[in-house]
Amino acid sequence: MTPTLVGRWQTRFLLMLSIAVPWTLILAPLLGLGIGPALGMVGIVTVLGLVWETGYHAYQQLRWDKDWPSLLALLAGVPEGLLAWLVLGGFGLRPSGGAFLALFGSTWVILWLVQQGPLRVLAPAWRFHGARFVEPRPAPVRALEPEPQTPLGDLMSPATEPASEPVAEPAPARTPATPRKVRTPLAFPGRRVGVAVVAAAVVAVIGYAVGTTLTKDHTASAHSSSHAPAAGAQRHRSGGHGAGGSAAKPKSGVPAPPNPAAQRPVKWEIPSDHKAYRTWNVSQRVTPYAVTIPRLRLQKVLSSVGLSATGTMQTPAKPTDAAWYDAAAAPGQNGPSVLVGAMGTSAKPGVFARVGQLVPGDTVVVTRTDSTSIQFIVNKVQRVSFDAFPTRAVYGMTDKPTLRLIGYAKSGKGRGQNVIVYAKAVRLLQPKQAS
Amino acid sequence: MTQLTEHPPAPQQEYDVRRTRLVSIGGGLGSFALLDRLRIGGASTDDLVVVSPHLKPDHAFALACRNSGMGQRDRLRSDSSARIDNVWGFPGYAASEARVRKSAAPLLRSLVEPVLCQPYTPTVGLMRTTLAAEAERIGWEDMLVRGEALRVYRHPDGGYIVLVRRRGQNDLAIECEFVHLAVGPAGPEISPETRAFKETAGEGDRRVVHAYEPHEEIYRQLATRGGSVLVRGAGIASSRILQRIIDDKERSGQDVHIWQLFRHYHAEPTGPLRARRDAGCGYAYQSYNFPKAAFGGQLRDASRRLDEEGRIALMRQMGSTSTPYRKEWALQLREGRAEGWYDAVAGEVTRFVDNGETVGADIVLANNERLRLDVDVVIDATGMDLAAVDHPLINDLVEQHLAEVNELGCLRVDDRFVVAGSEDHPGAIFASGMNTRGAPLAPVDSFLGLQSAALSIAEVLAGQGLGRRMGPLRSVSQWWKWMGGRSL
Repeated sequence: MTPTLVGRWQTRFLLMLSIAVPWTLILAPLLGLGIGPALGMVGIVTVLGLVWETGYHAYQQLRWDKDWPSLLALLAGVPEGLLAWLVLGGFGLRPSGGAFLALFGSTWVILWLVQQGPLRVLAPAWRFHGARFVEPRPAPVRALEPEPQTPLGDLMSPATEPASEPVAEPAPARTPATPRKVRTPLAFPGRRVGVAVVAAAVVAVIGYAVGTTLTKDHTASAHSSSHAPAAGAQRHRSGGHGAGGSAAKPKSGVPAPPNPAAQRPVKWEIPSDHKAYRTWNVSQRVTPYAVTIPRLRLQKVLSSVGLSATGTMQTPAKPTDAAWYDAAAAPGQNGPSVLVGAMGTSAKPGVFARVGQLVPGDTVVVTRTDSTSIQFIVNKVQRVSFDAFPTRAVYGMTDKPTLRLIGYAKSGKGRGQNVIVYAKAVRLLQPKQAS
Repeated sequence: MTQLTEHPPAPQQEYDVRRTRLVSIGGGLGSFALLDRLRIGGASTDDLVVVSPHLKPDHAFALACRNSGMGQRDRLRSDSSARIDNVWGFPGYAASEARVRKSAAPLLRSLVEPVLCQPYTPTVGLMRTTLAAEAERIGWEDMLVRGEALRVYRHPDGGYIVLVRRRGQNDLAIECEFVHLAVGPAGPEISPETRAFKETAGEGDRRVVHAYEPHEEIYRQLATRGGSVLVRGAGIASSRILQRIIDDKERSGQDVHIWQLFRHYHAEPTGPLRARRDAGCGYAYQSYNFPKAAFGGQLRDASRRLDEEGRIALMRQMGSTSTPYRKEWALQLREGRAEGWYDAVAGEVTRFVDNGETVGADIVLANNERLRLDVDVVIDATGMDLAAVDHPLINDLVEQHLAEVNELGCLRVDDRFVVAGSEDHPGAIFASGMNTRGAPLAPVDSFLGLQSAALSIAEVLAGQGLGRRMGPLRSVSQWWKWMGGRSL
C-alpha cells in the first residue's frame, strides 16, 4: 500500500464508519456491552486513529519506497490498542479486558483484510490515488460533430492521383478451376424467378423419439455418422449426393419446435463418448463429412462444390443438399471453410431454410472423414443481398479455423438474399476408443 | 515493434473503410490494459479496434523475455497486485500461484513482504497464461486488426483516420474519434562504441551483443569453451545475465572470467535519511524499477505537481539504474570475488578494438585512469532505446504537428494521458507506455503504470460515452464476472 496523508485519513474514517460501526453493533450485545458505550469506544478509537495515521505517515517518510507494508499495517494494531485502552480508562468507558480485546482485535483484523484486496474491488482507482476516495474528475476532451461530411478519398489521396472509391465487390470472382458439371451459380445476375427449386421436406432432421433431449439425440447421431464416414464421403464426392439419404432419413412434416429462448444460444454438451481437445493440427486438410446444427435439429451429409465456368461458386444439385466449397479451407483447417445450402421457399424449404435463426453462441458441428468433429461457435449472423455480398469477410484468410454457412434464396420471400453465419472453431471432438 | 523502411508510404489504390470509435495502435500490454478496462466498463467490441502485428497481446512481451534469456519459470520484477489481466489487482498473482501450487507460501509471502522476506514476484508463465485467458474473455480477437499502422491522419470534420497495411489484403482506413498510441520501444539502444565496432568488424560479428537481442550462442560458447566476458551495465538485465553465466559456469565447470562495468559504483547505501536507498556490491537496490509510491502514492502526487523539467529530474532520480536484491546471486557474486573470477570495474567504455581473436575495451575509470581489457565477448546491458521519435509512426505524427515531444524525445502528455498538440481538434489522441516517459506518472512502462494510464483514459472516454465509469456496483459485478471467468 502506498497511501498519502489525506488518503490515510479518508480511508480510516470511511472504513470505521462503514465497517467498524456495523460490526460493533453486531458484536457489542454478544459481548454484553451497551450500544452507547461501545459506539463511544469506536468514536474515540477513530479520533485516535486519525492522529496515529499522521505518525505513520511521518515514519513512512524514512522509507525509500514511501510505502506502508501490509505487515506494519497489521502490527500497528498493538500500540493503537494499548493507547486506546489507556484513553478509554480516562473517559471511564473501559470495558472488561476480554471484551475490549475481542472487539478491538476483530475489528482491526477485518479492517486490515478489507484493505488487502476487497476494498480495491469496490473502488478500483483507490490504490492509484494514494488511498484517496475523492479525486477530481478529469477535464473532458472536445466532442465530435455528429456526422462527418468530407469524403475519405480526398484526405488520403497521394499527391499524384486520387484513390479510387472503397471497393465493394458484388460477387465472388475467382479464376475458374477445372470446370465441372455446371450448376446454378450462387450469386447469379439474372435472378430468374422461375428457377424450379426441387421440392423437398426439411431433410435430415434428427427425428428421434419424442422426449429425447436435444443433447442426447445429437450425441447419438454424431456418433453414428462419424463411424462410417470414409466410404460415404468417397461415394459422395463422385456421385454428388448419394450418401445423404442413407445416413439420415428425411422426415417430412416435422415442424420447427417453438423456441421461447430464440435469442439465447442453445446449450450443447460434448457427447460423453467423445473426447474434446482445445488444440489440434490446424494445417491438416480433412474432408468434411456432415454438418450438425443442434438449434435447427439439422444433420446433413455434405457434398462438395467448386467454381462454375463463370467463376462463381456452384450451388448444390438439390435444395435439400448442403455442400462444402472445396476451394477454400476444410473445416478445422486454418482459414475460412464455407458450407453452402439453399434456403428455398416457405412452401418448399431448403436445407438452410432456418439458418438465419442461429444466434451468436450457438454451436455448429462438422464431422470429418477421419471421424473427428470440429465444434464451431457462431459469432455473427448477417443477411445481405446478392449484390452486397461481403466477399472479403467471407472468403478472406483468417488466422484461426473458421466456418461460414451461406444460405441463398433464389425465389420466394427472401429472394436475392444471402444469410451468412460466421463461426469460429473452438474444439476438436474425437470418439473414445472402444476397449 | 513496427518497423518500416520508408515513411510515410503511399496508400494503395484501393482500400477498405471501417468506422469505429477508438483505435489502439500497438497491440501489446498498453493496448491490452486500456481495452480491458473499456470492455469491463461496458464498451462494445464494435467500438474498439486494436491494430497489432501480433495475434495475442503478450507476444511482443514474450519476445522481449526470450531475447533477454528469461524462460517461463523466471520471475519478473513486479508486484503481486500489479496484475495486468485484472484491473482491481485482487486476487493478486500470489493468490493464483498459491492456488496452482496448492501451497499457501506465495500468499503468506506477499502479505509479509518486504519486511520479513524479499518481495513476491510472479513468473513469466503465470503472467502469460492469465493474460491469455483474459484476452479471450474480453474478445481480443474480435477487436484485432492485424497489420501495421502506416499513418494517422486528422479528419477535418473531427476525429482521426488510421491507415493500416494488412498482409494479403487491401489497406484499411479506420475512421475513429479517438486514437490510442501504445507502440512500445523502437528497439534496443546500440551504443556508439558498439556501432563503431560493428562498422569495422562487420554486422555479423557476434562478439559484442546487446542484452535485448538474441544471444543464446554466447552462453553456449562460454559453457563449452570458457573464456572472459565483459558485462556492461548494472540494471535488472545485467543481474539476470550474470546469474545465467554463473549458473552455467557452475554446471559446466569451465573457466569463465567475468568483468562487470558499472557507470556508478554503489558500495553502500547513499543519500540523506529521507531518501536513503539500499545499495551494495556496486548495485543500487530497489524492488521495482521505481519506488513503490511512484506508482500511486505520494511520489506520484509529487510528479503531478511538478512542471515537466522538474518531473523528468525526479524521474531520473527515482528510476536510475537499479536491481532488486536477490540472495541467490548476491551470494554468487561474493563467492566470485573471493575466488577471483569476478571483477567489478567502475568507469565508461570509450571504444572497442578488434584484436583478431579477442575484443579490447578501452575504459576510462572513475578515478580518471585508463584501462585496457581484453575479453572474448561483450554483453551490453545498458537499457532500451527510449526516444519515441525513433518510431516512424510517432515521428510522422510529430512532423504532422499532431503531437509534441519533450526533452527525452517522448510524447508529451498531460494528467489525462492526452497527447499535447491534439487538444484543439475534436476527438483525442491518447498515449501510454514506454513512449510517454516524462509524463506526470513516472513508471509509465510498468504493469501498474499501464493500468493507471488506462484508468485515467477510460475516465475521459466515459465522459464521451465510450464505456462507463466504474462505480462500486459496476466494479463489483464486473469483478464477480472476472472471478467466474465469464465472457464479456
